[in-house]
Amino acid sequence: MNSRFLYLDTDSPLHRLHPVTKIIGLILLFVPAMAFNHPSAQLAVLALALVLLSAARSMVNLGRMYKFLAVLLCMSTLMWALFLRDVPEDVQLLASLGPVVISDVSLLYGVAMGLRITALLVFGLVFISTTKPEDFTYGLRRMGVPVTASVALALAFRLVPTFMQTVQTVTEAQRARGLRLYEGGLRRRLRRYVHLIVPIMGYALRRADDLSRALEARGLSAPGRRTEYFSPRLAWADIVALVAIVVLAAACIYLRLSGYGELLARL
Amino acid sequence: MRDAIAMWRNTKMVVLVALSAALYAAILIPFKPIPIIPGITEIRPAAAIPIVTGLLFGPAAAWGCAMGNLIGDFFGTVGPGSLFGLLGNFLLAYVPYRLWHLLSPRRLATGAVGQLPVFALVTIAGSAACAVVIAYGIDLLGLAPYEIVATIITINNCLVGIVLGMPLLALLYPRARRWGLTYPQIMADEDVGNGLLSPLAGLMVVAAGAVGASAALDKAGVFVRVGAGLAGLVTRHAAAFQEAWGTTLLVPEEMALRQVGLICSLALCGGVVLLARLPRRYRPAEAPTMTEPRPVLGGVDVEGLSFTYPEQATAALDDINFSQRPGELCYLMGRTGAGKSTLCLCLNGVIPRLQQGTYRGRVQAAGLEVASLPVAATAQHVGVVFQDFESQLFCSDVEREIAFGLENHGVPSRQMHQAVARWLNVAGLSDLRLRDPTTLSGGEKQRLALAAVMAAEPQIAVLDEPTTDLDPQGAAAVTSAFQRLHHQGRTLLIVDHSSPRAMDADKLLVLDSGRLAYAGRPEEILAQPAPAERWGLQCLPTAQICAQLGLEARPVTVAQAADELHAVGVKLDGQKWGALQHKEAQRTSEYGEVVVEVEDLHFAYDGVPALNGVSLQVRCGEFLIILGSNGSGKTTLCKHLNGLLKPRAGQVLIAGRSTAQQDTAELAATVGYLFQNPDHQLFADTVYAEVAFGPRNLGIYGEGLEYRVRHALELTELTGYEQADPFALTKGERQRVALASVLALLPRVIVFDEPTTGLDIPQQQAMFDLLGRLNSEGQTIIMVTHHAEGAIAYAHRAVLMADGEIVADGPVREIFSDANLCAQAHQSVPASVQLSQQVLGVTLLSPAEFAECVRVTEEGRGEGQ
Repeated sequence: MNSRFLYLDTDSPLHRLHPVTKIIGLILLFVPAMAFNHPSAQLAVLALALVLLSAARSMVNLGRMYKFLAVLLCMSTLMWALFLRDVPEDVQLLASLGPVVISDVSLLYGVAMGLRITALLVFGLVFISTTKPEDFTYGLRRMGVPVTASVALALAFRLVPTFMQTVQTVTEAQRARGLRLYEGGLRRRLRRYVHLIVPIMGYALRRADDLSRALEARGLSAPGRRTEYFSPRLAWADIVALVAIVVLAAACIYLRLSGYGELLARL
Repeated sequence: MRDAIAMWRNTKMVVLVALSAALYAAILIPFKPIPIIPGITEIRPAAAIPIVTGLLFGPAAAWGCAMGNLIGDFFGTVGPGSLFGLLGNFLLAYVPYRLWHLLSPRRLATGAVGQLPVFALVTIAGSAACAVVIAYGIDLLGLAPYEIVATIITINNCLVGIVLGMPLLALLYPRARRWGLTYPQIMADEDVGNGLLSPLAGLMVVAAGAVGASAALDKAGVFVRVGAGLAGLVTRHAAAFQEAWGTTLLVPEEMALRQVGLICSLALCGGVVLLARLPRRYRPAEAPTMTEPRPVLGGVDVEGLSFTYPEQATAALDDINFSQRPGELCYLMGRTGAGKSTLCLCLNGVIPRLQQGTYRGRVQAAGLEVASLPVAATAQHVGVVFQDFESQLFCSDVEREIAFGLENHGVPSRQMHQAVARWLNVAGLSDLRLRDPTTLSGGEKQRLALAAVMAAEPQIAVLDEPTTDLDPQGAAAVTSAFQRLHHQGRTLLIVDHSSPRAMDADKLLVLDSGRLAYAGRPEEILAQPAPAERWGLQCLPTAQICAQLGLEARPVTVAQAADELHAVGVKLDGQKWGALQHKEAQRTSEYGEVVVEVEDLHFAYDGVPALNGVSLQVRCGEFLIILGSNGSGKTTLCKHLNGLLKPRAGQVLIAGRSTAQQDTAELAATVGYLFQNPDHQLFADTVYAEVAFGPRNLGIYGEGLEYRVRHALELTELTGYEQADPFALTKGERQRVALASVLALLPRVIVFDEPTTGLDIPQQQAMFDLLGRLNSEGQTIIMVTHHAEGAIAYAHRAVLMADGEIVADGPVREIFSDANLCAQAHQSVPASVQLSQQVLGVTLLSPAEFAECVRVTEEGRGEGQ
């Protein structure tokens, strides 16, 4: 139960940024990845993402995720190579198998898309490695999300490990009563999840009353202004980071509009 | 859209959002998908959750599943796709719920077979809506082509939704309804109702979903392939249809699906906004007129208080009158269901402010008329720490947890930091300031829950069963925290089952079936066997011993009892004592063959050692208890016995066969395992089905099954409960159902993990009696427990564990005669043992043994009279 969220409790310049900076920065960092669809440009974006990840001293998380990322990269490449239809006429066919064809353009586009999805996820990884869930919900609150909604999200984050523990305990309890999860046909296997999901949900829902009473008793719906225990301020570093990212995003859009990094005239 | 916005004003709906989100995320991640084409397509069972929770909890589930998906992304897949995942999962819950409400506003989805057509319709509509939006987003971002994503999601969600969703709903609906959690029970009609445009919007949503999904299915060639396959099957001329393979019927080759996706997604979003009534502006709740907190410390005054829960015939509280002076320490005792928790909820105004029911009478606390103020306002003066401490820790670290209430009350930052530091100190948690509350030990969690409530500086603290789940040492630490509060002059009301602790009270209140049976000094009740038993309380063992010896004195401490026994003069009846020892020796010689054999067992969780070379032998017919502090490795050892854990080094032999090669399901027929919390395994809608589940897994049907179930129900005294809903029973009964479900497997050994947690004194006693009876009929029992005092009357042998090792193993009498050993395993020595050693120099385990083996000498009896 220790391997929960991917947040890493280390110190780095990225860890120290204000949560609002991180949320806005993450969204703006998707722009470079989305702007280009040529493999070489995407490779540069991926390199940027990896530099940021190492600046966040979070390469460990890449180690945890690399298998998943590799499968995704290959699958995405293969899918676009096979299924890209609206390609120009003058392509060179590389291989064909019945109605399914791979052309040089679709293959290159596939590689670019595989790199794009990897880069996007690495940017995401930088964010979740450096941002605690509670900082994320705090950031959302500062960006105008209502208190009740952000408290619900924070509470949900907090309950996930508890419920994952419950999932494990319930699974153990049913196995101890002779339940074999991974046998039989699809329909029987699916129906078998009933024996797990019902106790898990029952266990969770039994607490709904207690939780709402406890929240009320701690003043959740108290009228008047709410104060914050941790209220970090925007520092110079935040402003510098935001300006840099905005400039980067704008530059990428300008480059793409000027025709750089474009393989096909689509996103 | 009105429902989706109005629900945020209701705390219960907010909680349901969090619960749905956490459940969805927790189930999304660990439940292995069932691969169809490995690595490419798989069936995700979790997809049923949004549909089912949507039909039960309405808009709360929609927000919850959207958040749950986002939380799932925090495990490594945050990206721009998260936004579409959020929207798609919102729709997967919201569309089925809204369409259902449109088609059948009066009747909720119950999972009844007759509802299948409508259920299938709303499931398909929801799946298509979810698929279209996510597929459009994924395609737009260039992550995967539209037709592939939409096809996979549509097929997966429809299949899982219908096959898994219906039975889930059938089992969950009655429970959700009983707990008052379905959306019509929580939200006002005018917020949930359909609007004028709803039918039109419904059509639009269904049409957009249908067009978007079928375009994808068609493009992916699903229709043509299925058609060709079927036609080929029917005509037996597959070849003729192979030409059609790979062509599409509806969508022209040159048509860009992305545009279809965009148009359908926009239509879906537009339709969803109009599915319910239009949102309206709510006026903010008026700030309550707060009475200034009075400088004097508050007391409690309860006059003629009665409360009846809705749909209940009998009153939970019936004409309660009592008063508690400022600074007084009161203990509240009584059986489960006597009304203790209900009374606690009345003191901070949760009843009647949040709980519906019939309320009469008057409660004044800290000078406030509790019933007339919002709970949040009362909370600053009356703090309640609830029984289940897991349910009141909301935050991600200890410090924030304490600050949470202060933030809500708008306490200025500097003051808040001072208060947090002070309460960290009071609760002894300063060193754990930054720890995640879930990683704390039970005692630490309990002290944190206390500090979190007390940080708002309420003058009155109400604590509902604060020490269940704690080992004796943890309980002692919490109790000393209460004493500090008491010395500060605060008013405390504590609900507890432990009589020795209740002796600290200035005043004892006893509830019996909703009525106040006693209010007065604790020793007058707790030191008297008869009244204590009448109200389900535990008589102090020292007083019980004197009563059984026919003495008049009712000492409350071991020292007093020893003085008393010395004064009257008692002696050991040598013959009876010899017979007792002989019986034990004979019992030991009659054990059968070795059934459990653990040899030099080592185990570690993620590199943290949990067991360091444990060896243990258990023979047939033994009754073994395993004692030790929280975290000493007791549960880890037990989980090895039925193969839930496999040895890192060493081996575990069950009936001569190593567990390493056997699956848990296989071992279930030999080793039964009863988990601490019965709610972790109950799922069926009748007790019979619940108990029959295990034998059915072993492939037992017909008469054999019938016999096993009947037999198990007889043993647990549940005959007559066959058709009852396990979820509606009391905790003690649920624990017995769980036990019956294990007994029905006819295992040779049963392992119990803390079977008496959360039970009151009579229920605990009944559970121990039941185990004693099973054992005397030859059942081998291994039990982990904190309640050594209750268990040693029945157990034969005790194993003490500390730091992953067995520190002592021997007959119960021998182990408990060594006070140092007990201390090492954080066990308190039972009063009977202390007393018999001090007075007689032998070890007597229970008041019953005292009565059997000890005689008051003639002189003593004469003097006493």
